Amino acid sequence: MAEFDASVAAQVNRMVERTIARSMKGFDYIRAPAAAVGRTPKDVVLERGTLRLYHYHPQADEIYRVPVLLVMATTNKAYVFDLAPGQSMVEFLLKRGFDVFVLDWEPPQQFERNLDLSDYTQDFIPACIRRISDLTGEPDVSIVGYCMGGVLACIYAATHPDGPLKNLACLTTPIDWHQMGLVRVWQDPRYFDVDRMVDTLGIVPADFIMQSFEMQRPASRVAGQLRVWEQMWNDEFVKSFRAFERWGNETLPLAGEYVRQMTKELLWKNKLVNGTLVIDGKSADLANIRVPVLSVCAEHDHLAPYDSVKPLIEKVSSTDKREMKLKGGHVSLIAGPNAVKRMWPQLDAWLAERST
Amino acid sequence: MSDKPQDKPTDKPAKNLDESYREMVTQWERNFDSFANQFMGTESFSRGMNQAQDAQLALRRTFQEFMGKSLENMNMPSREDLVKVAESVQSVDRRLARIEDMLSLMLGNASPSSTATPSRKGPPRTKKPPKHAGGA
Repeated sequence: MAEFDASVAAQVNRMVERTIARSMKGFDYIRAPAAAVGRTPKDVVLERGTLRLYHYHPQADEIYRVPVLLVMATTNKAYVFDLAPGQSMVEFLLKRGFDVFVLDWEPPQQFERNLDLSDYTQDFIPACIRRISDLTGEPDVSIVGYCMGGVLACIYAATHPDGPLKNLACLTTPIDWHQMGLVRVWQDPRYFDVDRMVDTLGIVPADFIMQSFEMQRPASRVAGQLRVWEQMWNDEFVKSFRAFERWGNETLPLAGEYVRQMTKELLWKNKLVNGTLVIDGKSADLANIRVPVLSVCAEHDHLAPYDSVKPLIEKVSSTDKREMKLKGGHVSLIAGPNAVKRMWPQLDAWLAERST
Repeated sequence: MSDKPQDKPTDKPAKNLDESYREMVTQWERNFDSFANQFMGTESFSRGMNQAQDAQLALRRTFQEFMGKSLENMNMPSREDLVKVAESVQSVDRRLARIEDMLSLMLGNASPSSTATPSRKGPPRTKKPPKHAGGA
């Protein structure tokens, strides 16, 4: 009985302390400026319209021969790879001895509304690889693509079977677009007039993209605020939450032609999994890929569910290929405390063996 | 009948209020999302949402046309005109970049048109994977 009383007293005591801390820190939280993100030292080594290529300063005395190019999804900023010191995939890879480049995107302007898959996969990625080769003197590169960045990387790899590409790692990369749940229902060709949307808007606004993400988990924003209120006393949690919140809010608009092509070719006709996608007259059949391939998916990914990711490993012709299914969601797979323990060490180990 | 012995005290410590709150939020989020997804995953929702979007786009197009004509009457450039100018500038920019690349190739340098910062000499590229690294 005495033990029980002491336990209740301790809980009440902690509750009072945390309530006071919440009140004090809650005020700071509301008036604080946007969280600082992407602070690992880097140079912009290529910029052209929507494209930005960053080269991060190496942080090891000796590095692997093959540079790594991280290709970000076109819908979001690449600082999710570099949220904060200790929570940065880029920093982790640098410390593990990789020479890291990141392909990031700025919001496309109206004059870039005609950009399509061909621009992204036959112009932007090859331009980045040429630039990396200029800077490093190395003939090949490993590509790590995240979500739609992985799709672009796959199309690049399939249309450039002779490289220069050493390894391909795809993180939560949808291949079978007919498995994409709600998006497929909402963009049903009987009801969704993609031509009207693209012809009217030119650039598909960020709000539209963000809405389509958030509508798939409509409670997540409110639940996030409820969680951060409870954890307001915990500075580390709040710091991490604010960085993620900023990233989520900075969703990018998309070039209209690119959206039209993705909707018709990938979502409706499912050409990536059927092997019938043709870009600039070149077949983007995944069977053309022969380099080592790693496909990583998340158990609770609602944007790129496992069934949509699964065909990558089945379709590529590589003899060295591996699939990993890890705990987590679409974003927590690549950033945050779980990624530090789960995905990053696996990616490091896989790349290390293939980067000499 | 349960698999667990009923007469033994559980090994788990009693949940405190914070844990209960977190669990409650998670459960609420799951239930709400599940309910909303059932509703939003229907054909009728898709049809309704897209009809609303089409109406919004039609309104926007009408407004764009009205604004375009008004600006034309006032002898002022429309957004479309400015986009065309930007496209021309972009096209000239690309050509210049190509010419610079060609010149640098002819001179045997790295492509300077794209160079925001000069190439830096980094650490040696001699690192080998640790013996325990497993990837295959």
